[in-house]
Amino acid sequence: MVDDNRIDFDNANMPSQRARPERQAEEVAELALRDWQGLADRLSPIIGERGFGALYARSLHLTQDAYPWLSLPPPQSPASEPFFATLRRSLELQDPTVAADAHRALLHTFTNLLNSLIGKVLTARLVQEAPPDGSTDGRSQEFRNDR
Amino acid sequence: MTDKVAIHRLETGVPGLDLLLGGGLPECSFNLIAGSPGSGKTTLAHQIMFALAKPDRRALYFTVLGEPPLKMLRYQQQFTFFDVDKVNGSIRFVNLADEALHGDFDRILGRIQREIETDSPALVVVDSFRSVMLSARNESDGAVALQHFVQQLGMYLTSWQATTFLVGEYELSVSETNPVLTVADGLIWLTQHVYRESMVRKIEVKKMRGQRTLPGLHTFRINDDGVDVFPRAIIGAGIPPERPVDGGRRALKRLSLGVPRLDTMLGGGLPEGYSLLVAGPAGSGKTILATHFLAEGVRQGERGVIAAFEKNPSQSQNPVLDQLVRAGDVGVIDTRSLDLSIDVTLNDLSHMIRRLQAKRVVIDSLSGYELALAPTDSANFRDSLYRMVAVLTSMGVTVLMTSELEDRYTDLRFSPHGTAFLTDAIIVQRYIEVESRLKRIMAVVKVRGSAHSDELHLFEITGEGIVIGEPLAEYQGLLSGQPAMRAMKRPTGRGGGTKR
Repeated sequence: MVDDNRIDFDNANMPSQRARPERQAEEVAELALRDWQGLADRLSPIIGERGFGALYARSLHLTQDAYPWLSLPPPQSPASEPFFATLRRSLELQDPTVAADAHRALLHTFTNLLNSLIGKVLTARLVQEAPPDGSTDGRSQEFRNDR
Repeated sequence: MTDKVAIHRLETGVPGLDLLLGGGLPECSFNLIAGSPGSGKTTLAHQIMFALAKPDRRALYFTVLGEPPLKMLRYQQQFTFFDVDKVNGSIRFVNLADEALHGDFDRILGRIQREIETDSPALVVVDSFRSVMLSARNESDGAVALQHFVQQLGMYLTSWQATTFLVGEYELSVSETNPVLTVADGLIWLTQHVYRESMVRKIEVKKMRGQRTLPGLHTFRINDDGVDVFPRAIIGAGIPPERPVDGGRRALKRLSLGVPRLDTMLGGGLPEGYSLLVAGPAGSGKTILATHFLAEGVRQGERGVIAAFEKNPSQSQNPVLDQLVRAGDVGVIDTRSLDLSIDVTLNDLSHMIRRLQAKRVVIDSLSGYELALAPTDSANFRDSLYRMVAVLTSMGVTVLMTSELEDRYTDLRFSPHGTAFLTDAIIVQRYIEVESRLKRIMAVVKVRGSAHSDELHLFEITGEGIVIGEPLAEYQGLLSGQPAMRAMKRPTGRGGGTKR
């Protein structure tokens, strides 16, 4: 039932690939936040904002081993504006490459966590589905242009 | 010509459920799936949704509080019906936990309406509804608000032409006063009956407006494919074969049991469509006789089915049966679970009989069967058995059942279950002591509507199977276990009286 080839999440929309070396940490943080907000927008309606928040907090906790400067978010809803603000601040203070790597690691942990809970195929289905406004297509375009 | 509205019925995709519902699920109906935690409500709702959802019949699954959606998705995807490709396509999951936490019905209803207007689903599931109820801020206001909410939701969803399921945990005692139950068109109740250490799942369609449902409790199981319902067998599903009239005027076909002489003792074989009870003590040769019956059928081009409750025939010391099974001429219902329901067995038997177009069925043995049944079913074993025999014979098959019988020499008994009256024919086997040797005897006790032998015959089990000897006319008191000779003559069984 699980088709390992269907998801290429690790290589899609990753800031470390999108970001040119000369990019500033602020840009990396901005792109990272868009990724996270996009994920929250897609997953929260299905698994609940608290469900998403719990997964995100767990992912941060696990990624802190490698990037101890990543801070846990305040106990707020992912729908609220400041939810990802902590991540933005953490990333902005780092070297852009380190910040991109940390974000990539966090995203990887989050995806692995979701994969382990509901499987790769369903994760791909829930995460990669284009939202009604077609913003995924827009982001993919941006990603291609960046490269 | 009629102007009455035609109600379209949907196939639920749950084996057996459409029969219970009276022909399927009425489109646009407002239904409740209720039961205790772990009774299979969410699985049933998912299974129906996945069966029905398609691009032009979209489904919305609202999760409220209770089971976290991630866990629900984690476990539900284990079932074969869970088609991931339908998720976020024909099926969309929506979590209402945040709305429910505030306990504001208007807010929940508002969100449901918004989602429905966005998606225009034909199917809507709200899981679980009880958590919506519990989220009411205070109970007295909550009850009124809930009633209002349910009525609003029911009205709204019906006008949106959506078939709806509310999934909820309800106690049977509070059911009558629950406003949800009044509004609902259909009520599907799932229960788990635990008795001693076994558990049997039951499903009941308590109500389905405009449908002739199959009333009462029916067994269901949850396996890899999801919910599998075994509608309780209703007697009269088929037409029993005509019974032969003694004298041969309308005598039906008689089946050979494959044991020379035994057919003669039965008055020319066992009439087709009869049920035969073979009763005897351990080791007397009941299973061997049953094997003769099946093998003879196969020899004549009739396939058979055996429900083996004692041991697995393929592993048993019965090479003849083993070969028949391997050749595919005899199907085996292997049943060694200790929480069987009679409906499950009957369902399995019926399917295999139809698949193989079998003519002969063996149940070996009733004693083992009673042991394998869940205590809830074994308590009314006789009733259940009556139903089973009636259904099987109404399918036109001829049934041979074996029954373990403790040797008693003070009374003549044929069945420890008081089931002898259920069967059309009875053969009894006994041990007797003759000249310090243990011998086996066999007699035909009853063949309904037919003349038969009343003689007691010695028989032996040889390498060729059962060999029946001469009648023991010169002995008396055989059934006391200690026969006495009337004349000075040795009993002569075929095989020279040697015991193998």
